[in-house]
This record gives sequence, structure tokens and C-alpha cells, in this order.
Amino acid sequence: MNLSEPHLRSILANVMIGGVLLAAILMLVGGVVYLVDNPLAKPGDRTFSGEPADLRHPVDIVRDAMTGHTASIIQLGVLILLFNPLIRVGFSAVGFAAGRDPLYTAISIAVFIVLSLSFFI
Amino acid sequence: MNDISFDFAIALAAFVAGLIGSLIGLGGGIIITPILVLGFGIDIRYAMGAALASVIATSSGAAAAYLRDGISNMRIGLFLCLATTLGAVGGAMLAGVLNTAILSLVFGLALLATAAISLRKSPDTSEITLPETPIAKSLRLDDEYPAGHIYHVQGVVPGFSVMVIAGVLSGLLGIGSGAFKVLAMDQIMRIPFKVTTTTSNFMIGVTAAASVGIYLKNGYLDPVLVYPVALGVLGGSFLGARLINVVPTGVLKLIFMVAIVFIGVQMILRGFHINL
Repeated sequence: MNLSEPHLRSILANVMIGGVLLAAILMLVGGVVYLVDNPLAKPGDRTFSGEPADLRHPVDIVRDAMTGHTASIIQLGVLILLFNPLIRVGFSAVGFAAGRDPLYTAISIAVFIVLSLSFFI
Repeated sequence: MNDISFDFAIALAAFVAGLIGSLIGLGGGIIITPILVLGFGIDIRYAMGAALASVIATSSGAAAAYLRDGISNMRIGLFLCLATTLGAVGGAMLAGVLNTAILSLVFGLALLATAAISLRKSPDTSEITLPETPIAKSLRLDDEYPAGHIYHVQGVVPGFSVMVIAGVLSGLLGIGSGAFKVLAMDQIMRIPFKVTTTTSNFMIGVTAAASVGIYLKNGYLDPVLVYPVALGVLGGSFLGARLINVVPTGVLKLIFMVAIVFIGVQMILRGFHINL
């Protein structure tokens, strides 16, 4: 696999667009359901309190989204959006490795590690 | 105002920010955060979180489109992402300890710098053949654009250093910091402009992702604010990309740079607790 091949770039492009679309759909569905459930709630964003713990951790977000918790469904859309660049860099690492390019495989992996650490530390 | 009209107003503002951003070549992030803070009274940390999420959305869409044409230079992009992601992690951690007044102040200064960078003319390198540099050669950064014309990348070390700063600003302020990335690649590294903008687009999403994980942990990502902002910006930039060859962007750019300077000054004043 080599990223200079047009059809492979095209596959990666489709994966990225698919990710954005899926994220947008989840945010839209979650947002509409949230509005139906809370039509008169006052927005609480004027003062900062920080989000509750269950909207901060990827594992909690996925678990709560599965049970239909609307804020978690929106947050799952956000998570999918955030994983998009991670996939982009991971795909590059594989592409460079397959093209027998050790320097850029290493650079891609280093960037991938920085991204992963920021998600999971 | 109840949630429905409030959310709708935010989505509309985000849509306009995304539209203008894509027409004048700025990300939505640097426009939407001041609108949320100054116009809607939202805490700057929530505004930054929502803006950063929308930056990733638009960058992913645009990067996907550019990926197909193969103009962006993946090696330059990934090499410089080392600088921006490390900077972004540092910036996002810094955002967690600074108070909102300082964040407003720095944001205002970044807006003024963005306007100054955007109004600067880029050097025309198309006719000049620049010499090969040893460090660019060993990193194999040089490539071909347009077809048949090899470009030699200059100033790798200063360019990389500016990218660290671009990364810090991205994490600190929740912006894509595209203007700073373009400055480094275009003016310092002398990479052809088309390659610069497409590579910058690839990098913006990756840089933003480095800090957004920390924003998530610090509780800056409020789903109820993120969804109208991200969907609005995404829709606006989608429309903007289709209008870019129809609308005269030169005049538009000038008008909005004036607006950005005005907003920048307001954000700085807000940092000093002066509200106009």
C-alpha cells in the first residue's frame, strides 16, 4: 500500500468523509431529541462549571450513548469526529511502512502516539 | 430566550462564520469563539471547545477533498505535525490553568496577528528556483508542484519552530491556527502556496485533535453547545466551498479583516474587564 496511489488516497478520503457524516448525523439526532425533551430548559453555558464526569471519558460516553442518553449521543458524534485525524495519521503510518519508508513511518507513529496520549492519559 | 431559539441562533451564527471562514480562507474557529463569547455571553472555555470540535469537522471534510488531488505534501504535513501536536498538548494544558481574562487577551492578540498575516502579500516563488537545503534533502521534504517543477523547502528549523507556536496557540485558544501554519510554510519555508494551503488543511485537524482530548477531560466540550456550532460551521463551510468561485472574495476579505481587528480589540478589552 502506498499513499501516492490515487485509489488508496480515495479510500482514505471516503473514510474521512464517512466519519464526518456519521458524526454529523449523531449530533443532529441527539440534538433534536434533546430539544424535544428539554424545550424550555435555560442554556447553562454562560457560567463555566465543567461537564459532568460521564461526558468526559470515551468509555462512559459510548456506554451512555448505547442506553439512549441524548447528551451522550451528541458526545459520541463529537468523539467520532475526534478520532478522524487519528485514523488519518494511522493510515499514513501504514502507508509509509508498506512503502518501506522507515523515517516517515517513525514520524507518523510518533504523531499517532502524541494524539493517542492526549486522548487516553 | 429558551433552548430552541437560543440553539437556533447559535447554529445560524456558526453557519455564517463557517461560510465566511471558507470564503476568505480562515477556519471557523477564530471567528465563532468571539461571537459566542461577545454575542452570546458564553464562557470562553465552552466556546473554545465547541469551536475546536467544528475545526476538526471542517478540516476533515476539506482534507478529504484535497487528498484526492494529491497536491498536499504528506511528508511535510506529518513532519510539521510533530511540532504542532506537541505544541497543542502544551497549549491545551496551559488553557486549563490560565484564567478567562488572560485567555480573552491572548485570543484578541491572535485575532490581530491573524488579520496582519492574512493581509500580507505572499512572496511569488513560482519563477524563482531556490537552492536545495541539506536538512530538507535528508528529510526528503522537496517535492514537485506544479508537475515538472521541483520545489526546494527552505528554513526547516525556523519553520518547525513557528509550527510549535502555532500548535500552542491552537491548544490554548481552540483555533485551527491556519493563518500561522500558512505563515510558516509560505513565508519561511517558501513552499508553493497551493501546496501550503492544502497541507495546512491536513495539519489543522490533526493539531486540533491533539488538544481536544485534553479539552474533553477538562470538561470544555458541552454537547449541547457543540452540536449547533459544529453542524452550523460544517454547513456554512460546505456552502462556502461551493460559492468560492462565484463570490468576489477580495472585497469580502478586506471587510472581514476590519471586523476581525474590531473583534480582536474587543476581546483584548474584555481581558482587561472593559465591556463596550
